[in-house]
Amino acid sequence: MATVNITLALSSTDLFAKQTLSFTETDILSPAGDKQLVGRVITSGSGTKDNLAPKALDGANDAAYVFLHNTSTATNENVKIALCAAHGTDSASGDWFAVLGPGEFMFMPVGSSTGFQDIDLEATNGNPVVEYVLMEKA
Amino acid sequence: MANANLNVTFSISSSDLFNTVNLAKTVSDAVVIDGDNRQGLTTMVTSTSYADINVEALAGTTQGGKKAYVYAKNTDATDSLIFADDGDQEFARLAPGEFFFYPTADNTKIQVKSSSGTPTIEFLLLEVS
Repeated sequence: MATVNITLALSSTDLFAKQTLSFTETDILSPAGDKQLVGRVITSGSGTKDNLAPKALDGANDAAYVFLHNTSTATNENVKIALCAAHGTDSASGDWFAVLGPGEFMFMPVGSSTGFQDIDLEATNGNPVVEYVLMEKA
Repeated sequence: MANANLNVTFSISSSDLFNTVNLAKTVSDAVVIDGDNRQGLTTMVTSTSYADINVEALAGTTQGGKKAYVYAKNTDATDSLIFADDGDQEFARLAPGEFFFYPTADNTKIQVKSSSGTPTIEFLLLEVS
């Protein structure tokens, strides 16, 4: 089984007047599913959703680790992130739960006991490039 | 409330996820926090019923609206944490020891519950205007 090391560091000196924020978290992941992807996609533009998984996410709770990075530097090139109920179909209009502004990234163990099978991306403007790592857990 | 800056760095690496390529990437960003809901590191004992982690409804208008940067970690050794949006749609599950960081959007609240038992969540939530 493969191991994947991840580290997250957050810091700020001006979020709070009386408290400085600074911490680091690490974890060692062991993704064992049948889909492990590293890639980049030039998003298709507003109104078109781009799916990431080549086949349906499955395993317990359809769980997967996902890292996404919007590499655009253009001010209005945001990317909306949504979960799809079925592979090969777009997410519903209200199913997006995250937005990556230019240069922003996210890491999340996605999953749902009620089932979803894919992740899709939709640019709000332009065609921002998104780099991603998608690792099915089991 | 004056704007603040949050520095974020994420690294991911693996030498055995693929046979032919190694994975090694570090990304950093400095994001501006200018919303009115600024919740520092907090811990909360969860239950099998949903509870909101945001004190006030998320309501900003940046990048589609209701945006906030969220960190969460499951500090428990046994049970998982389940996260859902304001429509009760599950989107994330944190196994014991796992964490996430992401910019939430389009939802007035973030809910969390346990798979069983009463695991503790550690979280940070910083709203964008």
